[in-house]
Amino acid sequence: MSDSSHIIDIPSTTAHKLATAKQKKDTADQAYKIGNVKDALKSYHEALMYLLGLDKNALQSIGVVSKPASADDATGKAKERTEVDDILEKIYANMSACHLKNENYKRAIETADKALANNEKNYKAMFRKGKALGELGFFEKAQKVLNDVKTQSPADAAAAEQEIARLKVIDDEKERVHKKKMKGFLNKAEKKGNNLFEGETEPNVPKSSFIEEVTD
Amino acid sequence: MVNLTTSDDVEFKVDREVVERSVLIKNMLEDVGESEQAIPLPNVSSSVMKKVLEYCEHHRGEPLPSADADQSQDETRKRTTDISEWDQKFITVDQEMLFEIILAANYLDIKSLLDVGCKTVANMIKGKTPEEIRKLFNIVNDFTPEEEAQIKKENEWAEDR
Repeated sequence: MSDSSHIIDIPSTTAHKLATAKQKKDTADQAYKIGNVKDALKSYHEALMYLLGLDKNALQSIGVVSKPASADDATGKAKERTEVDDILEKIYANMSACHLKNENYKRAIETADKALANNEKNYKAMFRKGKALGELGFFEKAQKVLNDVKTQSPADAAAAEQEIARLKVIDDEKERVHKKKMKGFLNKAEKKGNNLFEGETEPNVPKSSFIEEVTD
Repeated sequence: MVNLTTSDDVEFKVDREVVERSVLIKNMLEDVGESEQAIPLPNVSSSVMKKVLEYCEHHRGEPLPSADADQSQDETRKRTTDISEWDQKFITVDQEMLFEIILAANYLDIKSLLDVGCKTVANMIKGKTPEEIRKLFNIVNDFTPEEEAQIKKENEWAEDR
């Protein structure tokens, strides 16, 4: 911009935007905790509006610089991580939890993927992605993702195992109904074929509690 | 109509179909619905936003590239530097504005506009000598003469003749 006062002000406005984003995220976390998913999503989105597209150089000048990479991936591929990346990761993982509550599984997967793109070891996001895939009927994909949670994060292994079992029950039930429907398909088709698609019911299974809490 | 507020506190009222060229805003509208309250866009100024909205208005209703777009289609999109006539005219701005538009397109997640911006920069670079490119973007040459000779040798195969 040709407006020079604007340029001089960049570090302080950047700090201000970062602070606003954190505030919005806190508001969202609180809204989620009292079950107000829509308000939570709104505030998470607003936080994103402040965080995305922040000037990386300005971030450095206000001391939000890269931390040394964690010990296990210090092998050269240490990506520059800023506080902004940490917050973004949490926001996306939490948004995924919101979408799961809304049964908006497609967006739950999209947001979980964004959290995972920021940190491939975000097991909450991984779990939520697996659950959403399962709910959409991709049982094999879900199983694969949840197995990754199981093997990579001992703390979440039990929850992942439980979710796989739950999804398997749904999947088996679908298969059973499907087989039943198709059983003697040819004979039935000979007759009339109008009761072919009867008695289709979704099994009612209790929901997992793993997705309930958000990351502060 | 959707309300937007830019970094310099200017308010824009835009058709939802127009503003949904921005995947960032589209996602928000789909998740939380429209409201009277303006959506804050603290990382775009009004002068840039005006330009971006002009682009969105012209391209309203065109299909958005889907997240799981055909891989081969994506490849051709990346490889060509062709820009349509309207886009070409639209992007004929000074360098400062060009970079601001690219930053905004990236922030707002408007892939086609980001492409137009980046292709324009690519076309500016194409066929120029290193010295010409340095002048163009105001880059200081920090190579020693030895380093520069070495690089030139290594990249000789790529020279346009």
